[in-house]
Amino acid sequence: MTETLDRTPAGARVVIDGVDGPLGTRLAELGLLPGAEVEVVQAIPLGGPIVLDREGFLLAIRRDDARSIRVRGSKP
Amino acid sequence: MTVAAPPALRTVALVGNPNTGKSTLFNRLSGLRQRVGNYPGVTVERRVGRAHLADGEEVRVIDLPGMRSLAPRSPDERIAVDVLLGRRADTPAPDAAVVILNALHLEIGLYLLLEVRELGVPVVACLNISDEAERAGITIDREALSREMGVPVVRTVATRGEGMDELKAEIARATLLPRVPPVPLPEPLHGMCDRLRGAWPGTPGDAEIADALIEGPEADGIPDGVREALRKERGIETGGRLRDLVVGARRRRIAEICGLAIRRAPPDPRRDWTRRLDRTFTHPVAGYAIFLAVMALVFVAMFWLAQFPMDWIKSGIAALQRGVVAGFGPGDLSSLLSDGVLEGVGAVVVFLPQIALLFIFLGILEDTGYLSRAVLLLDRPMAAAGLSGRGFVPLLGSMACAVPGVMGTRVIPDVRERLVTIFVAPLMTCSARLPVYSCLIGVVILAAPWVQALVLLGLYVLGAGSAFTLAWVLRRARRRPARTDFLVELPPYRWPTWRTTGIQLWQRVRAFLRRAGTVILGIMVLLWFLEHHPRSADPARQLEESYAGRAGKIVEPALKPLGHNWKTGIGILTAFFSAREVYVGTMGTVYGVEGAADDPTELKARMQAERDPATGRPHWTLAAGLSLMIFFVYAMLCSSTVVTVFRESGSWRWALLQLGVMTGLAWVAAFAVYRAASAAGWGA
Repeated sequence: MTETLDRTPAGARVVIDGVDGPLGTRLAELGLLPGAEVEVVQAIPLGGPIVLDREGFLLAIRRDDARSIRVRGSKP
Repeated sequence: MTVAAPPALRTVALVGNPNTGKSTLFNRLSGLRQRVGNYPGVTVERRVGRAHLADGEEVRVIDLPGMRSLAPRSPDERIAVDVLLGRRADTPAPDAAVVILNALHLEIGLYLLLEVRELGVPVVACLNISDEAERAGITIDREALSREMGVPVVRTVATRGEGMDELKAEIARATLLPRVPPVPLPEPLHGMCDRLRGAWPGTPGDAEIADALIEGPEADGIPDGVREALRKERGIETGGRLRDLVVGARRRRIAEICGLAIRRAPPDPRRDWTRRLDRTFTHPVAGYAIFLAVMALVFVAMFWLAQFPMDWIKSGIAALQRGVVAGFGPGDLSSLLSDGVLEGVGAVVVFLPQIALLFIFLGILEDTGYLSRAVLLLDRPMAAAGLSGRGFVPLLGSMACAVPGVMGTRVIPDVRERLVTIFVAPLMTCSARLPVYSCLIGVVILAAPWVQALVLLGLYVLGAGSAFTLAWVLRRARRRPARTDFLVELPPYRWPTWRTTGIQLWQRVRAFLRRAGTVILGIMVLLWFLEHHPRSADPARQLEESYAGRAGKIVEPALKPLGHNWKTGIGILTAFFSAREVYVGTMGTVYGVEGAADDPTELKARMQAERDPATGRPHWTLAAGLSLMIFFVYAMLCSSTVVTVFRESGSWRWALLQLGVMTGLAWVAAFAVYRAASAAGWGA
């Protein structure tokens, strides 16, 4: 099932399906391209950014941007 | 006998992602032999130094702005790419590039290494932060990495200076290698880029054109003239497919290399430590409480702790002034040195402790990794004004002094956002406004101390509120709403490295002192001349009859609608050229009170006693006092800030626009308040 990263609960591990819009290249350069697995570490309070963990690399992105990232649940 | 010409100075460029310890490595290589400035006409910091290699050879080292890839999306990255390709007239083309990799996240940094290597310039890879990676159980096979990438790989720990000799030896070797032809992009991109190059303005690199092809003709930052050609050239290809040809291919190659060269031990205690701290520092309650405590600490340090060295500077300058008067006797020379140079430059240099403290705190917050977390916590609230979390600390610092605040905006990577932050920073209530407010409140707010305190608080709130409102307006003034690229890396928590903080602090302090010793010194000498010439027969009327006094009378018509006369005119003009607080001292001179800046009681009494010569009514009414306070909230009465904004924004246009907008706002707001207050019966 595909959903967007802004709706993924903290603590979940997901696989990136695709990214809409200009954010895609930026994220791909960082290794966050389709097929990559990330963990949603936490969401900053008050609607702030979301913190992702990709093999120990912690990256924060805004919730608006996370809406354009399509993900699916990773197999346990 | 023929003497061999000295070999030309070779140039090395340092390239790397943010948070790879690039600046620390640059400081290790060049020590204090470095020059920091701006690339002409842009808001990008230019850092060039000299490094001594083992064989006594010297090389020029250029520290390029941190970047993720060679597809330029920000002015910083554009400059970095242009320098690497030798396309800037002001910077020599590098003979070699050192690509700094964070050993903790090798797979991220290899992307840039691949791109730089494809340019054809000789490359040395530098595996920095190796100690932390080893502690985290990450083993990197340098030989395999070197073989796969075709470049030498050096292990370094820049914070402790490990591996520097080997790095210097590899730099010496690499600078002697020839450039090789760049690796072409894969087809069909290569052909598309070749055909588009002619239509493009300037001399774009392949990476830039390829990026435009991937992002599509509608994306931001694409020159208008090429959109149609781009659309035609792209034809049926989609951005996703083109992206995969370049970015995807490099990423697959990196995955392959990493598989060969990296071994990870599964448990990672250090990361857990960072995560544990993150849970506290970004907690909805504890996180904001800690943030407020940290900011309170910065605030207390800048206001209370800074007071001690500021007092020492003041008394040191007073002692020098006494020495000058005693040594030269009364006369023009001692007056120029004492009242002009020492008094004037002293009024600016006295802010040095606050400037130093702000940069010490900024350095520590950044080094420890806390700044990134604070940026996240503040991002949402700041986004309401069109700014981002990174602007918070510079704006807070502006409450001590706008000069370090404006200099501190260098932590903001987005140029437009940085310019807006610079634009609004002087509206935050700086400490030089405090003596002015306290004097005016004492003169016109004849009420209980708590009412006076409330007025003062109101002025602070008005300043900050206006700063955020103006930022909101400026961010929406553009046709396209400004979108900041917000991808913030959260580095692991670590102890600060004093060496880097120290060197950066020294550079900022030196830049400020140089300005105080040149531009500001010149302004002070001029101001002294204008205040002491032409000579008046009556010493008490010297200022009034001087050129400065005449200037005050010239601006009087502009101040009349605000309820003020030439006396405040002189006060405002002198405040602009030295510092706002000088207003109080100038009023002391105008009203004939000695030492008004230190004890304003007598000055307040004289001001309250002043009558309007035409009507015989008191001059300093509540309406007049309020209008002047409002004027000080908005007016840019600080030439040091104007000069700093020019230096930091790289353009006089922005500095003068700011000066004009703030002066206009000040006049209109003061006029409105004066009329409203007079209508309310506060004008008598």
